[in-house]
Amino acid sequence: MKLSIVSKLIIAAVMLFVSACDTVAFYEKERLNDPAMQFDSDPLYSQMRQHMLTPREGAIGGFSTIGAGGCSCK
Amino acid sequence: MFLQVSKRYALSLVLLSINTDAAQDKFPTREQEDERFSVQLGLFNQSDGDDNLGGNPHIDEEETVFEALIILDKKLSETDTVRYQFLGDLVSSASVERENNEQFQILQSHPSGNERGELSASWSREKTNYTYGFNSSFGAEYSSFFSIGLGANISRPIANDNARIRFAYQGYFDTFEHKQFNGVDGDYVDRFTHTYDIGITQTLTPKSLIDLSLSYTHQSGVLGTTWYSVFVNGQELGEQLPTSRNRSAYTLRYKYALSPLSAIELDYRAYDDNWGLDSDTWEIQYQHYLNNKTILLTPRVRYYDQNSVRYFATDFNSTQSFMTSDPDLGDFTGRSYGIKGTFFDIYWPKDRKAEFSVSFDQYKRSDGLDLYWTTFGYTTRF
Repeated sequence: MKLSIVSKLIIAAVMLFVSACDTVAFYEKERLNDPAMQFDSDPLYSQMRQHMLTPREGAIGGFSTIGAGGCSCK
Repeated sequence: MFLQVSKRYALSLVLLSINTDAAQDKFPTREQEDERFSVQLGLFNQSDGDDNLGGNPHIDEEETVFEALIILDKKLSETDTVRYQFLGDLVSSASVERENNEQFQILQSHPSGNERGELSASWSREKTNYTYGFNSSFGAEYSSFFSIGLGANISRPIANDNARIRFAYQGYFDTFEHKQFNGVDGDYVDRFTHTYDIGITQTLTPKSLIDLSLSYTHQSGVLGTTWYSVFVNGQELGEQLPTSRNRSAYTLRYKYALSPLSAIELDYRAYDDNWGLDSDTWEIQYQHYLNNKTILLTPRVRYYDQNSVRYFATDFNSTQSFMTSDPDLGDFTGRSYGIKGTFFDIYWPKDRKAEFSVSFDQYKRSDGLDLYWTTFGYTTRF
């Protein structure tokens, strides 16, 4: 499924307004502080995995990944 | 062998990056942690379909890569951290045979050469209300490829620490010898890359997070792979691609804690560029603790769907301004299945507390270029 321009703009709008959410107190964040709840909780593994995938696919970026440039592989 | 590599390649260093790793309750807290040593080893194998007809049927694209990533993080003060990193690759592919075959009888699929090494050093500073960093890098690898990188990033919490916004810029200047498919070594050519990222991580509920990001990349210069070729009415010619490319990626990630021992993550990325390539990436992963949280299992499933660039064809009937037969720029879908296990509270060597990880993944591509990989990780902190 490909996103239309409208869908992409909606995502951008959500990014601008989502910061208005203010519902979680600091004492409620115990579960969120668990390593398993972090995006890319193992950054070295994520780095190696994306380093392997990026040269073999046309897409780059996102997922806290390396972008283009810097080596002959991408 | 790595010593031999170091003689051939310049050191790349001074890569400054933000250190945003969350403190883990099984290790010293961030305030207590002074150093962290990590090793990640990976073994990747790409097959070329039945009878080597996967991907580009004219070339042998089988490849095996062994990669090692070694990192040492050292805390200099309450706010400053230094990172030293080594990344090395050993590549075995058909291109190695071509590089070593003066008659160039074997068509080339991947970089000429079988070694790549990179050394880097990083520095980061984290303040109470914001984190910022600058980075620069210098790298070199086989095929006479040199790279200089510059970047900056900043992030800060907002909404009473329920969200964190970030912005980053990363630029690279690459220069490399224009080695052609027929063995002719051309002059050095250049490539420029500018990447801009903006993102936000938002706490939604006590059990869920969401992350949104937009990435824009502009590239200029020689953007094709110099040693790649195309066939026009049976005649082999060099790959020709535009000297400019604009690339955008939109990423949405959602994480939900199903229980105190498990979580699920859903990821989506939409990508497009002005070469006509667009793709969708979907991924779901599940994380579950076992054995009193000393083991973390993470199975994952990923689906990738890509439409080719406008200039792609396996064979061309006539010469075009831009032509490529690079299967990584063609039409294909990819499905990968994998699992990763992380083992905490391992005491090795001797009484040193550490964690180990191991992962296995299978990536099935619709064009036959399947990939299998396994990784091993080791981290200790002191």
